[in-house]
Amino acid sequence: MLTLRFIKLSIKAALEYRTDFIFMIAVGIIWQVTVVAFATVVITRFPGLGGWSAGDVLLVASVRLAGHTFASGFFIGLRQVSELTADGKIDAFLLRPLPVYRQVMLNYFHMPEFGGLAVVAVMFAAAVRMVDIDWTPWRIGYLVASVVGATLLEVALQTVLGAFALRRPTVKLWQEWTEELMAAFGNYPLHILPNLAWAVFVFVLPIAFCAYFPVAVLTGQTSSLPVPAGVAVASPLISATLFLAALGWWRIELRRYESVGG
Amino acid sequence: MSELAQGWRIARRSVLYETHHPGRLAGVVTQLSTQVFLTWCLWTALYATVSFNAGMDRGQAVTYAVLATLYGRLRGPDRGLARDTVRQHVRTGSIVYWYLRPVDPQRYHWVRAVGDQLYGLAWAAAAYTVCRLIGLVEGPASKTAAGLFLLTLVLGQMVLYYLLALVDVACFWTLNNFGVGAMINLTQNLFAGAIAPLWFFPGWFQTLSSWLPFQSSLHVPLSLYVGRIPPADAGHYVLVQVIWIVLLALVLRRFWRRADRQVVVQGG
Repeated sequence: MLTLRFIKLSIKAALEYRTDFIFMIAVGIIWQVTVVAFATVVITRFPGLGGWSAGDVLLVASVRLAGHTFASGFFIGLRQVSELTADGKIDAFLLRPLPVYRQVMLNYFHMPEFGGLAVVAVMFAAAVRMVDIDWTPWRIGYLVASVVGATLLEVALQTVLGAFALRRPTVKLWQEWTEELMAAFGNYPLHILPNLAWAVFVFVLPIAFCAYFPVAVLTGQTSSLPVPAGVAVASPLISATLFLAALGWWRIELRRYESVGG
Repeated sequence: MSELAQGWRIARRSVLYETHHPGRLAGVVTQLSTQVFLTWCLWTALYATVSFNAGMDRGQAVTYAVLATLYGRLRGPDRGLARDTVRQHVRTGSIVYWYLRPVDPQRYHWVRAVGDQLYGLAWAAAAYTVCRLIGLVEGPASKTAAGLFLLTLVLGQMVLYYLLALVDVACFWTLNNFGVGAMINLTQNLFAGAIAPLWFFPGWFQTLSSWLPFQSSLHVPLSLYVGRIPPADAGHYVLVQVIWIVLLALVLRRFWRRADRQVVVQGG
């Protein structure tokens, strides 16, 4: 109940700046269009990428973009932790009868992001037509799990960085950079990259689990992956585990939180 | 204090903030080098199966894409963390100090932008030198192309300044320009060729882009650099850039005058 009131209030607050709210809706759509634009260039101008067909690449981009839309819609507050800390709002959150993490999320409910879902739907429709996959119930279920996994993975990364931002405001730069990096390179089969970059995207900034591994499973291209097929299949589960671990890190950093107001 | 000394003191403010935070400097190095390297990998992989595409060979396309990444640094440091953007000043009411200083707000805004861009240019130039030394990018197509690249780069940055300044000034009416700013940034990236060279997009998209000011900032200078636009055609593009500069400057001047009468000091 309290959560719903928070959501209503944050939407009401956003509507206070009506012109900006309308522009934010446009931003949600244009952001998705920029990703689609590059995917279109890859599909229409090149015969594929790293041995993957244009349809396979589009499916990777669709899964990641869907995950990003949900992550930004519900969890964008994590990218505002620096400001919330500097403004002393975290202090107020600590006094309220709701978990601080949930209040950070609800502080700004990013409604316009959901406008981008229309773009995601178009991308999925195009990708499904282009890929040669027999859509059995298992595969459809796995696709849904992949989108949930992509959402949780992005949220996990932002949660870890957001937890750092509770004590170090400059971390915001890294949060933005991580998002840009995921937007730029999370949409493609990562085996096109050299081994070092590859390893980083599997073990340090695990973008590979976001969409690349799940789509490799769906399209039956796991033999070319640098991890066992079982690990690729378990990508949504691994993303969920990383999310839970990130929440644990958030709690640790929150215990160390010190008010800037003195 | 002379005007020059005053301008210097204003222009270097963002740079001082940046250089007093070694963590941020290290962050810029890491982020820029990673972005450049990955962009190079992506475009090299795209050209693995084709030798020529959209009028560009592998070297031209990779050079364009990597330089477009460096171009992102030209706008200088992110002032948001220092709580020093116009939007933040308007929202907190500290914009009032812009009107109490012995410097015209319009001039203050311009001098700060020049300082920020020079700082960004230093980063981009350093990164460019490294990229050239290790062979990630090719040199300019010719000496004439290099000269035209520098000329159109400066003109393009002026177009971009006026666009972004208009977004800042709009804040005096909207009180919050986050949405407008984000939209201009994304539109700029799309229509300027920062996401992918405009030559790869369909004809209608290129036509639409040619009617907008964004391609003046990045697409034109980089296309001249890699030789995709021959120097003989440069006159047309330079003329378009100058027209945009004059138009946007006039609009901005009008907006600033109105803003002076419109300014709302919140929280005071």
